[in-house]
This record gives sequence, C-alpha cells and structure tokens, in this order.
Amino acid sequence: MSFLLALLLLAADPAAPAKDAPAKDNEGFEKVDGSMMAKRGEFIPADRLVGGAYGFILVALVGYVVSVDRRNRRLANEMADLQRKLDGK
Amino acid sequence: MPRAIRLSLAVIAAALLGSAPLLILAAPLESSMGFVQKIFYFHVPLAFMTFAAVFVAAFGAVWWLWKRDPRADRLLVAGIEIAVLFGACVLVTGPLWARKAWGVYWQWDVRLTTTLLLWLVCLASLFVRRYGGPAARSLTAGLAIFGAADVPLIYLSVSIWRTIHPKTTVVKTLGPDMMLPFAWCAFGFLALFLVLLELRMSLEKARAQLDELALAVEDHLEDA
Repeated sequence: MSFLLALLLLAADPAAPAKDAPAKDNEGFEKVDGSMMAKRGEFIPADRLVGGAYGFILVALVGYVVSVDRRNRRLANEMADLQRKLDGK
Repeated sequence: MPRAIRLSLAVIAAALLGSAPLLILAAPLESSMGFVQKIFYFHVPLAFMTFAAVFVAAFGAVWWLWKRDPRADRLLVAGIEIAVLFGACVLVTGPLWARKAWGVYWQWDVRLTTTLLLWLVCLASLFVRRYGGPAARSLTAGLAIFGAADVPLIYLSVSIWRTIHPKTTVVKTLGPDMMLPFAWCAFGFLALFLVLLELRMSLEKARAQLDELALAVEDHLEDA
C-alpha cells in the first residue's frame, strides 16, 4: 500500500520535467527565434550597447594603428635629420 | 609603415569590419540575453588575444632577464602594449554586455576583478617602462611575469568559484551557426594581434637604431 502511495506521489510530482520540454544546457547558449525576442520588449536597448561595444573596439584599434604609425614617422624624420648631420650637410 | 604590414592590416580590416558583422548579424539570437549576446563574438576573442599578448610579453621578459637580448625587450614592450589595448576593449565591452544581461555594468566578481588586476599590472608595466629610469627594462619584465601568473587564475576562476560570469564551457557548446562567426572573429583577431606585434616591434627596432645613430652623431661632432 505504501509502495503504491509513493508511486502516486512520484507521478504527481510537479517538479518532475515535462515529457516534451526542450533539454536546456545551463552552461551553454540556447538559440531562439528572433521574432519571439522582438515581441518581448526591452527596457535597456541592446542595440545601443552592442553598437557602443563595437564602436569602442573600432575607435581603439584604429587609434592605436594611427598612433604607432605617427611614432614611426616621427622616428624616421629624426633619423633622417641625424643622418644629414652625420653626413655633414 | 612597411607595405606588407599595411596590406595585412587592410585584409584583416576587411575580414573583421566587412565580413564579421554580416556573420554576427546572421547568427541566431540567444534565448535569455537576446541581441546583446552579439558582443560575445568580439569580446571573447579579444580576451583570448589579451592572454596571448601577456604570454608573449612574459616570454620576452624571461628571455630579457636571462640573456639581456634587445629582441626580447622588443617582444616584451610590444606584448604589454597590445595587452593594454586589447584588455581595454575587453573591459569596456564586458560591462556593456553585463548592463543588459545582469542589470549592472560591473560586479566585483572573481573573473572581472582578476581581469581588471591584469590590465592594471600591464598598464603599470608601461608606466614603469616609460618613467622607470635605468632599471625600467628589468622592472617591466618582472611586472610582465607577474601579470602572466594572473592569466591562469582568470581562466580558471569561473570553474573554481561560484561566479556570475559565463563559464569557459560556453564556447564548446556553441552550435555551428554561432561557432562560424566566433571562429571567424577569433582568427581575425589572432591575425590582427600578430600584425600589431610586428608593427610595434619594428617601432622599437627603429628607436634602437635612432639611439645608435644619435651616439654616432655625438662621436662625429666630438671628433670634428
């Protein structure tokens, strides 16, 4: 009798996973249909955050390349000046 | 700037600025975070390259402390400067992602705190190198090694401690439609890292040549 009761309780357990529920990996990303996300509405605009992130990366990388190029040119000019002095011109 | 480097930069810019955004936009949205998860495709490869830059700098540091080879010093300086650049990108893009995903820009989480610590160590190395006087090279080398010791801690922090940051296993679980833009960006940033390393090392080489030339001019003027 107690075995049957336990079996009934297990069958009625609300915490038990539904048969058709999709398996979810808590440690990974789960993809979803884009139209569903759009319907939810957003309090924090994600597009601005993504734009800000990519914009910062672009400005930082381009700025760095320009900075190294400028330093290289300045050194090249200084070397040319010194070379002229060395040549006695 | 040498022509080969200019050409390489143009190809990488086309790959990262032309193709990558299209692949990233075409990738599916993530269920819990939505559009903001797109930051992942640049944020994670930049973090990997920050670690690579710190390891390159640490290799140069050990080489410098052991052999006092000027090439080691070039590698050290180039690695540290690129680590500061890429690290800044990681530390800016991460909080922008967190604002949406966690509701706050910053948490004093182990992963975030140790990453900030690494960036500050790299920044300190650059300042020491610039203003540290005669012992600057060795002090910079010491700091670079200290920074490299922090990298495994950053990587493993999400597995050891309970943190809010996604785990390293996220990359392994990516589906093919998310993996393609991620791999594209990862290879793009690897190529960018190598080209920037070469560019920055050539600058240090030119600086050493300038110093030699300045000494030669001094000698020449004294003789005259």
